[in-house]
Amino acid sequence: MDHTPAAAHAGHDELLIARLFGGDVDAGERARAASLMAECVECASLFADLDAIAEATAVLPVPSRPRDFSLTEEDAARLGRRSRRWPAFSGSGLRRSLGGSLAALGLAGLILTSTVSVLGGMVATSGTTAADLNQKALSVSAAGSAEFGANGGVPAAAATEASAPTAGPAWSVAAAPPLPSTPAPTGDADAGTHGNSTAAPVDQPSPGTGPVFAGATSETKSAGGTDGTERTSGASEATGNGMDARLVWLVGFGLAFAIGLALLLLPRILRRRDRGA
Amino acid sequence: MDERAPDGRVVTEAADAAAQRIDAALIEEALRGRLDGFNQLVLRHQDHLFALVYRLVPDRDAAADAVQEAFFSAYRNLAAFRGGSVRSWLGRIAVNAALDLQRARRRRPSQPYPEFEDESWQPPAEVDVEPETKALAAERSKALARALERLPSEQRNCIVLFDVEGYDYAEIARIMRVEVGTVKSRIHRGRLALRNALAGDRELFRG
Repeated sequence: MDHTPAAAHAGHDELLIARLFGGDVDAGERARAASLMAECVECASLFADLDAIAEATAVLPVPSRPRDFSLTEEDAARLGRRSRRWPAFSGSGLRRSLGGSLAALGLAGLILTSTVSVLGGMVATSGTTAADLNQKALSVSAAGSAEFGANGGVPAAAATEASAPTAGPAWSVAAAPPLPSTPAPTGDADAGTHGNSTAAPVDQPSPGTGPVFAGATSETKSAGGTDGTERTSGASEATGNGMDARLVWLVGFGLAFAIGLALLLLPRILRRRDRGA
Repeated sequence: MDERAPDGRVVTEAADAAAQRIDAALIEEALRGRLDGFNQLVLRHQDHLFALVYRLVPDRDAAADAVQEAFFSAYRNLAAFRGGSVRSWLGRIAVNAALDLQRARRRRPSQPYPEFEDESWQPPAEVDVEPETKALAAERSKALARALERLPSEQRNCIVLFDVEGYDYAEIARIMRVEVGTVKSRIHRGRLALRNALAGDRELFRG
């Protein structure tokens, strides 16, 4: 049987000695490695060799560099340095995700709000020409759902007319297109009062001021009226507020879209400007 | 605490702080659009970066290309510099360029390391050094370089970054995108492999 140090060393854990050299051992392993090095010459020389090799590696010479790595003006122009750091988010994922989210939210909101407005307008418009639809709307509004008034043009108009004392004759006028750009039917001041549930300008000139909107007019005209008249004016006001709310939402979503786009595109624009400069 | 630079110079903390201040000023100049400022940085760090990359990719021309690419990248991303040591920042960019090069070479293997007899391998001449000692040092360096080149690149990268560049395990793990345990294992096993590869030249290291 071979009892030489080399034969004994064959069973020793060299990786443990390497880990001891790298300072990557716990207390138990350190004791075991120290014991190996104390008893085995090969283990001790392994540790010494690792030390000498690491030291030589640290000062290993390299060939001289073959060229100068300075940038030329052409290099600089071609590379187009990225813009100077600007507030907190330059090039960060935060800016991009915030910008993207805002733009998406703004766009979706704009589309949704516009769709609601247009659909509301279309239904109301078609109501002026189709008597049966009017009747249907009348029956719906007769159910007395005042909540609808705040949400859109048609139910509000229906509610208005259903509760109006002059419901019969005013009906065809009542469902006048709710869009502000569409003038209310001519001739009857009451038509504007009762029928135009959104902010349609009233043809009847108002003393002193420019265009007068139906909501306001109905309020003034209905003052001192019957109970039904008051309800009419309330519904018209509610739908007027609905239009205002839609405008507010439109502006809000538009702003969100614009800010999102700016966050996404501004760094690129600044970079291009820097490059141009 | 003083430390020894790869070329053997002793670097004091005060000198290091002064160097960092100069680097920071040059970065500011470069950010203001002055190419001269950036090129001053290049002059200050190109030797170190070439030495670093050459140890990772022991091919002079390829290493030079990687260093040039690293400086291009640094110039493009000056605005991303967040303060601290410019030397470390450039070092990380250069290491990434070297790793990219290694990956590319793995895809397209070529004849590696043809220039071992190049006289530029001679270590820098020192005054008062016996010719015999100088010759011994040169032999040791060549033997070590040959042994290093035979190591798997993963082990070589970790050993160079740890023993030469002085990065700690965690930083190497970040750069190499592996676990800290993997880095430790690569270093320990790489050192053992180096020692085995130098079995015939052990006397050179036991001076």
